Amino acid sequence: MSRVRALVFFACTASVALAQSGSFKEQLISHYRNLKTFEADVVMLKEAEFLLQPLTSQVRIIVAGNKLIWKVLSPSPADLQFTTAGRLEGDALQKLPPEAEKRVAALVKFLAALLRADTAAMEKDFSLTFTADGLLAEAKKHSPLAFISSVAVTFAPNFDPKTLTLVLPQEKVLLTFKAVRQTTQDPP
Amino acid sequence: MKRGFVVLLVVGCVLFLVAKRLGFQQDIATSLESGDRLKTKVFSFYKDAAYFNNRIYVDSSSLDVHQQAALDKALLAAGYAPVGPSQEAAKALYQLTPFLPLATLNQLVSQEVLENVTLNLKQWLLLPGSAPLIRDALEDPFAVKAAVTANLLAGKSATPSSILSFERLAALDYEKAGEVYKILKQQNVPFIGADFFAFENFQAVKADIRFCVLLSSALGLAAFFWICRSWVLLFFLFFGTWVSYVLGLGLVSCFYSQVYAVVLAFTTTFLGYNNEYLVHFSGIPRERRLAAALGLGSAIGTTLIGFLILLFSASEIVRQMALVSLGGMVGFIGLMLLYQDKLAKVRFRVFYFPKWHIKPVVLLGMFGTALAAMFLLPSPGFFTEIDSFRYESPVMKANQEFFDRKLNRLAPGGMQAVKVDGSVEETFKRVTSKGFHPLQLFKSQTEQEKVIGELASVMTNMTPTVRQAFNQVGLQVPEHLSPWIASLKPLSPQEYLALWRSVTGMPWGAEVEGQYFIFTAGGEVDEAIALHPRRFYNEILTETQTQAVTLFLIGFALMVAYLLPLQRQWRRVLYIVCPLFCGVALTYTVLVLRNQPVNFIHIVGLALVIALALDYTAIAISSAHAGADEAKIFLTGFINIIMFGVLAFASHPVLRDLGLVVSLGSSVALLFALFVRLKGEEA
Repeated sequence: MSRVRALVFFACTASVALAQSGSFKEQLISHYRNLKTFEADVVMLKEAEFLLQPLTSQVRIIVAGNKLIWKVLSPSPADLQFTTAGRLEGDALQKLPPEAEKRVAALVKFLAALLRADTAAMEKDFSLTFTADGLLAEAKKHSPLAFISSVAVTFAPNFDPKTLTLVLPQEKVLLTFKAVRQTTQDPP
Repeated sequence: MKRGFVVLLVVGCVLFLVAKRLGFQQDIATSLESGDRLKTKVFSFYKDAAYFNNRIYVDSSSLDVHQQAALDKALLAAGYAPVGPSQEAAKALYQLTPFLPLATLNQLVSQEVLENVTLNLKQWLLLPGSAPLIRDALEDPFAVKAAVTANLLAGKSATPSSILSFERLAALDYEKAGEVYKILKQQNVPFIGADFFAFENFQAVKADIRFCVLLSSALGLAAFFWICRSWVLLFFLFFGTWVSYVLGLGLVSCFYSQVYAVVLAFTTTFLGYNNEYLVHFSGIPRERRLAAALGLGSAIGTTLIGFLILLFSASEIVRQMALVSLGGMVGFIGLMLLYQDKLAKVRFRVFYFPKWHIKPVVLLGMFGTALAAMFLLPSPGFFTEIDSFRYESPVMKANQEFFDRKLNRLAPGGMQAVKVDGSVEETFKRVTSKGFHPLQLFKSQTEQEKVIGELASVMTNMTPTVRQAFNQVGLQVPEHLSPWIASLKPLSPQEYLALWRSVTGMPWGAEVEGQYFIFTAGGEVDEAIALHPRRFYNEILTETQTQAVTLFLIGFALMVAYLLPLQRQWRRVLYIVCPLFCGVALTYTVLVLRNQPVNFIHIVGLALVIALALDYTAIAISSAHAGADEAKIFLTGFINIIMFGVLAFASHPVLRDLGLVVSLGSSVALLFALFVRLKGEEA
């Protein structure tokens, strides 16, 4: 009898967890649906075998209209503007090799989709798993982003992103979001 | 008799199980074999290595995100994976470094370039996910690989960047490939691939089988029942056709693992063949069996010769058609022999046909007129094109034209294989290459050694500077910078072309059957092998057609040789074969009027006319035009014309052409047997 009770308890807990994760996804999508601009100050911590020591940088990320701006504030300022389709605009960055250009474009597209909670666009390259307060994205085998092992994102209760962890075979990047500003008005 | 029936049923069931293992083959082009084995091997090698082997191409430039997502899903489900640059290709790029101009290398490995690279690295480090870029820079700090791509390979890759290429990793599943085909068609983007042609042909044949089986069965059975009014015969016809079908496919499965869908569609005509045997075996009382043997022997013998001759065709499809027909024929006749006594009781409606009594000299006149007509009429051409061998929708036709323009590097019109005689370089010099060929950039081994030595020396000198610059931006530099330089060695032309194959995705030279060939878009070279699929297949088909005419003539000679001792008089033999020549002349006239060249299928069709339609005159003259036998001839001929006439409306060109030729030939033979009679053959 105790086994039956344990089973029932397990089933109930699992269904509640499932229902919660389902509702989190819906709430997240619903929250981001009407947002027109997203801006956040971010601390990026990069660890990799090829680095002499972990690299920390301050970045401001802005998503507005069809633009994603990656503004490096320190250690060496740079202003990289991309379209949300992944195309780099201007000449702030040296010309990338074609293969790298494709990878950067795919990554920017994914980041833009992530910061708009556009799950349909994200699922093009990743399999998504929603947790109680975030999501885990694992790259699909034949995607141009297959060089990324996983992306884990956590959200605050108000759905502001808290952290983003990007894992590659030779690199791990942790983005910690601070001062997130979101508006429902069109960008000027 | 019961034991015989049981044995037949058991054998039938076993063969049915064997036949069920047969796979379907749609690519009709694979059924063709050239008499020149080396030519076929070289073409097959190029075809598989260069472009269409399990690959599909999509021009993705107009797709939006949602369309792309839907397409990706269908592609994944059908087992297609994107074709991207391989690890091998990246290694091959380094190996091609000795072919860069020395001046370019000197410009590359310089202080100025190093400053630029360091600046790039500084920026890339600030981006997430830049590890692959950094790794590449550490492996190749002066971007020699990119220089090889820009200097040697620019514009020479297999596909333009807007064209996505996918490779099928699993066996072809028509339903799943069909899903991809439908999505691409809906999205209105250009796409191509042998799988899509195979799918279209599969669909066309499937529709033809449904249409032809339904219509010809309904019409044929109505005619059959109208004339013989016997349910017993209908039962024999259906049961016997099942036996034929099983034995025919069983026989094919003994020799082949895959059956062509067109051959399967062809089996729909079994009802027509079998009704012929059934009718001729029926209504013969025991005491008349010997007398009827002359007509039956003549009819079955000519049919057998017709099919046996087709077994020597160079086309696998035709050989399968012959095998399936032979199996079907043996199975059905075996069944008829088992039930001879039952069939003897069947009676037929008797028809009387007015007769034109002619002398043998008139027969000779008809024969001469038929020949003269063929010589006097303007020639419609005597060749076969691949288009008359496969179904192609307007969509795929437009796609093919689009990709012929876009992928002209993959299937250029003038691409040919030139056998190397002496050294590769000397052979290449003799070919006036019209387009690009990597051998134009080939360097002698001494020149290669010079570049390798220079590069190694410059890199050794630069290493401490590179190490210092990279350390300054926070990078840990591996012990050996650019380790690939140590593996560089002078290449032979063959090794060099093998590397080009890795990086461009198409072969430029290869060894086939122990001989080395250069693949080049050159001018006219003696004994060069054409590599454009259309040109190659058209050549083979026309070659096969010439062989088919020889087979047709041999078949005809054998048939005459078989009939002469049986019929004993040359004029009786002339009467039997005369409709064949009239049928050939009529078919030729129709083709001239339609401005359609005489192709391979028409010749096969005429061989089938020997097998089918000459039975009418053989039976008519052997039975002295007896009323009951003429009724049988009318019944079998009428149903055959319906069966093959229906095929003339099929969408697949092979079935359509077969239907046209056999129904025309059968019509002439039927009218001849019923209304023409030799003078002096009254008794």
